[in-house]
Amino acid sequence: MYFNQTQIKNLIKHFVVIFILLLLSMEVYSNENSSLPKLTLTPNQCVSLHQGQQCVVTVDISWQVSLIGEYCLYSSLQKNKLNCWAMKKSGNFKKELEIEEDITFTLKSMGDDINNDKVIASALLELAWVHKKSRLSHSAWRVF
Amino acid sequence: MKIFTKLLSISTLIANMLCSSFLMAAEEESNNTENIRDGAYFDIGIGPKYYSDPFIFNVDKDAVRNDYSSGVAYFINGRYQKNGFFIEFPQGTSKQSGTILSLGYNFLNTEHWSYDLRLAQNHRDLKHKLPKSNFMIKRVTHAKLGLRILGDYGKTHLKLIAAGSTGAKGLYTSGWLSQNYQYNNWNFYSTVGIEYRNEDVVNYFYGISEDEFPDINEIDGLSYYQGKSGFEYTGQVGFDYPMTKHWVFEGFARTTLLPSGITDSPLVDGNSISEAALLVKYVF
Repeated sequence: MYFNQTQIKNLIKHFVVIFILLLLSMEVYSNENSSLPKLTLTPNQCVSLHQGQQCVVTVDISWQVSLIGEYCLYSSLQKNKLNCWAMKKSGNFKKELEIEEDITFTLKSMGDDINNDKVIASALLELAWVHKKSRLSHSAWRVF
Repeated sequence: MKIFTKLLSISTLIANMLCSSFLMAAEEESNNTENIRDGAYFDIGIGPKYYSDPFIFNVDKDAVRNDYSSGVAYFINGRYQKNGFFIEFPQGTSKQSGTILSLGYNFLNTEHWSYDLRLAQNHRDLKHKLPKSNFMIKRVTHAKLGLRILGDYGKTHLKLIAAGSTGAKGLYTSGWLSQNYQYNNWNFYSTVGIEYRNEDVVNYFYGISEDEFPDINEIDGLSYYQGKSGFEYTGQVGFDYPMTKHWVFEGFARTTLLPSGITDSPLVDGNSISEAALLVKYVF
C-alpha cells in the first residue's frame, strides 16, 4: 500500500477544522426561567472524564421566593439541612462537593405551620462524563 | 553472533509475553458472546504543538501544518468496530509510529485482555531532499500484519505489539505501560514504552547502500551506511481535563530516545525526538 501521507492528512485535517467551527457555532444555551420561586445552581452539571469517577464541584446555590419567611436548603446527599435563612426572600449558599451520582437540592418553607416542610423549589446537579465506562474501552488507551 | 543472541533473547521475551497472555486469556475467557469492543469512537482536537527530531534533510519539516513540525496541530482519533472487525484512524496524542489507517480483527476479549490482528504501518514515511544535488530520497512505509494485545487493569494499561515492518524481513515489536492518576477532575497519566526494530527496518529507513545512489552520495558527501537493530525508549506524561460532556482540555509531553543504529546514520543528527502540545478536543 502506498500513501501520500501528507496530502491525505492535510485534506482530512482541513475538513476537521471546518467541522469544529460548525460545532462551536451550533452550541445552544438554555434560557433561565425568571418565574418565582426559583432555585438556581451554578454550575448545574459536574463532568468527570470517565463514568464512575468521583466528580468534584463547587456549586453556587441561589434561591428567590416572593414572600419573606424562614427557608431551609436540603440535598439528597444528607438528611440534615445544609443551611437556613430567617426573614428572607432570597439567599445564597456555596459548597464544595465530591459526587458519584446526581444530587437534588430542595428549598423548603419552615416557619409556617401549614406550609411546614413544604418543598418550594428544587434543582438537579447532574453528574456527567465524557467517556462511558466499559472494560477495554476505546478511551482506555489513548490510544488503540 | 551477538545480534543472533539479541534476537533470540527478544524472541524469547515476546514468546513469553504472548504465552502468558494467552494462558491468562484461557483462564479468564468470558462467557459473553457479544464483542465488548464493538462500537464507534471519534474525537478531534486542535492546539499549539512543539516538535523536534534529528532527521536532517527532511522535507516534512518545511511543510505547513505537518505532523512533524511545530505550530498549530490537529489531533484526530477515530475507531469503528463491528462483529470484531475494526478500522482505526489513530492520529491522537499517543505515539502511533506513523500509522494513518489501520484495519484489524478483534478475535478475543477476556476480563482484562484484548487480542487484535491488525494491519498497520509501524514507521513513518521519510523524505530526504539532499542539499547539493536536490535529489529526493523517499522511504515509504507499508502496512504490515501484526498481533496487538491490550491489557486493562483499571488505572493501569498495557499494550504489546509484534508485527512485520517495512524492510526485507522487517520486524517490529513494542511494549507499553500506562498509569493513570486523578486529582479532583484532572486526570494525569504517565506512559513508558520500548520499541524494537530489526536491522532490515533500520537499514530500509536510515541506511545508505553503496549501489543505491553512487553519484549522489559523492556529491552530497553521504557515506555508505548500514545500521544495526535497536531499541527505542519513549516516556510520555500528560493530562486531561473535562470541560463539558464533549469538550476536553488536554496536554502532553513526550520524548523518544533513538538507538545507535539510527543515530549513527548520515541522515540523522541527534538522538531524540521530542513533542509537546496543548489542545482542546471534541469527543463525539
